Amino acid sequence: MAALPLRSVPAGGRPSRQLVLDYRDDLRIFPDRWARFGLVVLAFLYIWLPTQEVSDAGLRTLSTIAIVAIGAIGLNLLTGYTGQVSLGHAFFVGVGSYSAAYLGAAQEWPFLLYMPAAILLGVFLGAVIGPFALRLRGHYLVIVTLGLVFLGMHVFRNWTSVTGGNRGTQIRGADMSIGPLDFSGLELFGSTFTREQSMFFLVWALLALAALLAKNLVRSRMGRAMQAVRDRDLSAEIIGVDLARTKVGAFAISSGFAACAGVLSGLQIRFASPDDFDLFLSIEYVAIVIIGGAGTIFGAILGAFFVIGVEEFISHYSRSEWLGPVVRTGPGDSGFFSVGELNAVLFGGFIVVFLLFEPRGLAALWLRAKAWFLTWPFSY
Amino acid sequence: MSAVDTAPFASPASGGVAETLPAHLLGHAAATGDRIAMRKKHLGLWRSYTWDEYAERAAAVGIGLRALGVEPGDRVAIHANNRPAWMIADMGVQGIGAIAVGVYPTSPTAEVEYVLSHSGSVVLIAEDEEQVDKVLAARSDLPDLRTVVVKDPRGVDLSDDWIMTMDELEALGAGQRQDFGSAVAALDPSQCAIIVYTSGTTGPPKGAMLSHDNLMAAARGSGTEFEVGPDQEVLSYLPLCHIAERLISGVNAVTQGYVVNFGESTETFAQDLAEVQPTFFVGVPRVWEKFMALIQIKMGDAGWIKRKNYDLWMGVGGRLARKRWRGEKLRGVNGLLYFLGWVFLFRSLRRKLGLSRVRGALSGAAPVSPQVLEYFWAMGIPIREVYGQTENTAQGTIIPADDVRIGMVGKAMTGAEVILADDGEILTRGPGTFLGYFRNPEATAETVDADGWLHTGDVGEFDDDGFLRITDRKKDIIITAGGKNISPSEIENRLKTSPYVREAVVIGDQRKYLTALIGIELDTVGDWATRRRIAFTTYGDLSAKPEVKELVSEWVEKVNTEMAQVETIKGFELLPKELDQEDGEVTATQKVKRRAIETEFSELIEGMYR
Repeated sequence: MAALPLRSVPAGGRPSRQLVLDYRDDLRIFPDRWARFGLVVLAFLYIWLPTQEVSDAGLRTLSTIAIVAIGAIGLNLLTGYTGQVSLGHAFFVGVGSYSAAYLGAAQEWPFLLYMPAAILLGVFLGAVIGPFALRLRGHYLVIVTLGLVFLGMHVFRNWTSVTGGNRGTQIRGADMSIGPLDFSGLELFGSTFTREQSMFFLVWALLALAALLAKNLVRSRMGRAMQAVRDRDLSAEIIGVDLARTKVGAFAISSGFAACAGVLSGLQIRFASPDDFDLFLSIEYVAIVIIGGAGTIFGAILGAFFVIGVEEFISHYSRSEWLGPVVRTGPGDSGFFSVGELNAVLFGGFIVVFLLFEPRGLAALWLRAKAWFLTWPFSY
Repeated sequence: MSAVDTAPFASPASGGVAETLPAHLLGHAAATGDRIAMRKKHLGLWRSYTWDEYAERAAAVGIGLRALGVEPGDRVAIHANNRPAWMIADMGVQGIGAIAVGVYPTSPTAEVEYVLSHSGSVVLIAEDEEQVDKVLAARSDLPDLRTVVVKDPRGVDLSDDWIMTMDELEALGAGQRQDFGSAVAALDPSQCAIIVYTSGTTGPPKGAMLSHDNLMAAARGSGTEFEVGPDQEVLSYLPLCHIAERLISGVNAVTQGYVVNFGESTETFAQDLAEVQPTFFVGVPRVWEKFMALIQIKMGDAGWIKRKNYDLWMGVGGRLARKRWRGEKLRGVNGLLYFLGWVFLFRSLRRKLGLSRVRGALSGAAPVSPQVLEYFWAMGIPIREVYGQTENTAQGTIIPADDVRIGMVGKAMTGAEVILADDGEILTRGPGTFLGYFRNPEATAETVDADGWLHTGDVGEFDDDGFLRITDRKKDIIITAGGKNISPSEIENRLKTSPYVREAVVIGDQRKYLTALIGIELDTVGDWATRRRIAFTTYGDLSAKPEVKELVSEWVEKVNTEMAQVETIKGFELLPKELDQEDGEVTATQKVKRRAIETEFSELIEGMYR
């Protein structure tokens, strides 16, 4: 009788990639080759872009985008992930900017000290505002956070010893070094970079860090709790989510991101005045979250690109033939709107259009395109 | 791992130990103990079982059973869904010379009682409360049953002395692998190893006794013919009480040493399959038909680009498949075409189904329509029909890999002889021929004749190249009033290729013309009705809709055009209910019990001849 092949060779096939052998497999941030490939491309652009013939103005715009994106990620955690609409984001950004002005420029603290201090201050103030969200929902919460903006403006205008009052305050000479790297004028490998180039390196690195932090947060227990609260806070509480902790936590974290963005924007424009942190800035952030896509991290970045891009576009063409008659660029000039007003009108319009036609924002366009290919050859 | 006593099993053939499944299991544990033998999805994670663990636990079960007083030759029943414990129990039982009897997890109490009492099982290993409740209901009629072992004791009253947990059983026999090794070494391979109760479309189930030698013959035969090796991954999903899945998840897995994956539950089959992406897949016709219906329904909902893409490449794939059947390798332009089809359709389509890595696929256990096979060949799944039955340990015929003929069941498998009797009945002989029906010598004598030929009960014919074609079950063949012989299964399978048709029973014995009872597929017809805003409540309600009857009627007309005049369906009725095992209308393997149907729906049938 022929014996069966009793092999001692490696038995068993290789498990398919879809096989979840460990819960960690479910939680991977960069699940596949494409995600990792994209990461390499981004890293390359990060190194390569600033060394190319991009004008300082162009780099400044790119840095602004990164700074705004950091703030937008914060608001997205609160609005997109936890479902708490807030118009008070400008206040926390203001807190960050004035922290940079007072602690960084006036008190001459090192960057690694005043940056965390500003973030902690944002977190603390967010945690103080957070409890309102426990009692109020929807429109009522929006009105309370709206009040926060005016309260903030009042403080910024009148606490002159710190904020410089109505005239605002310069942010000059603030330290911007991390260890041996001084981002106010980077010297690396024998070459010297301009302030704009250095700023680009700093803020995009921080954006990457912020995005990673947020990505990690939303896949954690806290992140799942936030999304449960967004979907239905009552049900969330029933399955054991601590509502108070989650809502207050979301406010605190979101405000921390806003303060970080505030510090960076203060360092970039080297000036802070109360009028920079008015209701319009809050609306701009809400617009970014809605246009970009609520509930996605990369949506916040997309939204920042879009909104800052439109702003740059308008201010660039405000004197052109076709925008000139509409936009008023100086005293006595004809036109209905100032640049800022036109922006406000446009963003208002964009919010309406996106909420009506693409409530999940620009990110949804991408997600939908991706789904079209992922469901191939079916449609679902 | 105990170093003692496993050495002889490293090569059972040479070490003087008879070849049996438990011997092979111990051999794998000794040679590649830390390799993965099984995986089971539990709470979203695929847990692994090594060969060492497998052997250790099988030994614990075997010795534990012996401690309960189970002697060689005693029957131990296993009543559970597919899971590692099923195989562990099977190996433990066989290892101590006892006989493993599988009970279908879907069996109602009456059937469970019949199998347990007919087999005289002394111990029952039941999965959970559901199965324990069935046996508790029949307790007073089962004098032989001494102990019920329950795997998952949630909800089970353990204060009852009759019931113990599987953990307790394993604790009884823990750490005595040496004893188990001696028991395995002492096995007589000619003795009965398992009893497989055939589902029986007529009369009560019969218990086919298969010896260790039968199983080894099957391992040898199918190991060669199926082209399975140690680097395979399979998903265990058909009932393990059936010979087909037993061969794949048990016999071949333990002899070849490949990995068997057990899904989360029977309901999650599609998801489990997509996750495992097995390299070898065996389906019964119902499974293939269901896949086909699923694809067609989903394709119908897809956008036009995706639909055109599908039509284009399935057409190309169909033409290429015809070349592959003749054993041609796809080279040059054809190779390029197949590659493009793979890029644009086959890869993603097969991945969605869970068949992206399939290198070999089989269809068996019932006749399948050629259209179904062609369909899967078109997307590059090399599916071959295999013919066998429990009584010959599924060692009948198989389509050779290099000469595929759709509609045939191929040539005799290695070691088996297949001939036709004078009346056209297929006879097989070989090492796979079973020992006989348990406690039923009359039936055994009717089935196996003096020369050792097994009468399969199927009628068929050979073509000039020695390929077998099955006509039908001998007793199912319809002789019309006009004296024509008609094979109903061919027409029925053609009818079942529609995504809307789940069951078809052709009627016409001693009648002037053929009619059919047709059962609709609730999912797809329900979907169809919803899209047309036809409101319905239940299966019966949907079945009674004139629009649904019209839908099926169009399909029947279409099939009729492909049939010879005498084979056309002159009238049909839709079944008012889903056929159910509990009501005795289908077997555990979903085969229609023709006689029961004809009696139950006699009024419907008579109506078609009035």
